[in-house]
Amino acid sequence: MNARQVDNGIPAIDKQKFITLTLTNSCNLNCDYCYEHSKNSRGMSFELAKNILSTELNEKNQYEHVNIEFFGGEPFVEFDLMRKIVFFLRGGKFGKSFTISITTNGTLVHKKIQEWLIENRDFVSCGLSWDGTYEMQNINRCNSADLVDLDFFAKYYPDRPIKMTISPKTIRTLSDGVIFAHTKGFQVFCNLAYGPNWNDEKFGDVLEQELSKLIDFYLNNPEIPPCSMLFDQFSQIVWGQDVKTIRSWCAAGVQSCAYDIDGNAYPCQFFMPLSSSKSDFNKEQPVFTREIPVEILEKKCQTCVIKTACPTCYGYNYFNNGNMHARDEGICKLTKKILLARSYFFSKLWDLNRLRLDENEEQALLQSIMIIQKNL
Amino acid sequence: MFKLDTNLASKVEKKIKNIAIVKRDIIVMCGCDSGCEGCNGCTGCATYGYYRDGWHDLYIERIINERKAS
Repeated sequence: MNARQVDNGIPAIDKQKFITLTLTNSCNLNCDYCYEHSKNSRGMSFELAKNILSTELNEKNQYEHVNIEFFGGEPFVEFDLMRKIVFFLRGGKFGKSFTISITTNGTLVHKKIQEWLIENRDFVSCGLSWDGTYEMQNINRCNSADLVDLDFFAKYYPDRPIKMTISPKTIRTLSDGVIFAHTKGFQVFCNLAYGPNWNDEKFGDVLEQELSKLIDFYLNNPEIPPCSMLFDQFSQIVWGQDVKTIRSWCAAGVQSCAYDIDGNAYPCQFFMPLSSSKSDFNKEQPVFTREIPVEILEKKCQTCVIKTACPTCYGYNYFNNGNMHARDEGICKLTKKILLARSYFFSKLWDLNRLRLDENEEQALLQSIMIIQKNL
Repeated sequence: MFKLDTNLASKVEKKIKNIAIVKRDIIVMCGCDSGCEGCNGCTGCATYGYYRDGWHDLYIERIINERKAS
């Protein structure tokens, strides 16, 4: 079976596996909130990459399609290796279809790399991590704004949202950053950085003000797809009351795995020594399941009305709080504000008849909105 | 902030029906970055998570159609 073109003909989600291939432990930046604390100059060998991919793409299991993510460090530090791997995949015959995805800090994507990406655009999807305005990017990402060719990504990957991480140093200009990205032609994923201390009450007030500005912006500009912070799914809340299990927030350890440069497999990249700086993970490996019993959540989460729509990072929780289900207190408070803002925003969109929903979706949405409104 | 005013809250309440809602199977797709909001994603991972629930598709499709129509 040959590779499928990017985003075309991909089978149902439960038939897909997600693998992360760490090409290098090296990065040319040192971002303010980076969770990779053990970066070094080591990289993966081509032979090892071939072996991993051949195994994943030919192994007989429930998956028909493999999403391959090139990861780092900054994956383009190992551009020659990346080229070899893609050439190998293009020419190979495998038992499964696959797609290739890269997310980059963009600073190395010029000239030869741009030409290569354009040549392989039918085969490789490339997304950019960019943190808002030029000033926000410089604050979070080592004064790298002038090193990134934003227009290249906007032109060649218009459907791939940029990944915008908000830190305590940039939250005051969250709305400016998102709107700037839209003016450059991007859709926006934005989320709060895990790791920084968000406990100061002032962050809640600032976040409310910024989300309020964004809601006004989107209501006045209905042609622009809203950022993920305001537009992500939350209708599952209606089914999340009085349940015994909740769906795992991500596919880590269940439907995805991350390979480090030595070929060791982990539930996701957060569990790799590159990130965790710990070597004892395998001795006390937490159990990953698709359905998580509510009784093993923290007490505060067991009764929380938004527990099925609450984003969390099991790797971060595990290494920072000693329990993969122990959510960060500061993020918890801000998440509730985000969900409240989202419920308000969706109610406005619904009232303006800007949502196309069938009756089932509409009922799930409206009931979820009211659960949030009455409880948060 | 973000509490619905009385009129809109009442409008939403009136629209809510006492019917069984079919549970949708929402699956978050990747273990790390984009759709899940779960980590910092400095170098990130697959973008597919963004479309995991279909809501974005519905809304974006409508926007694109409106753009074409205009």
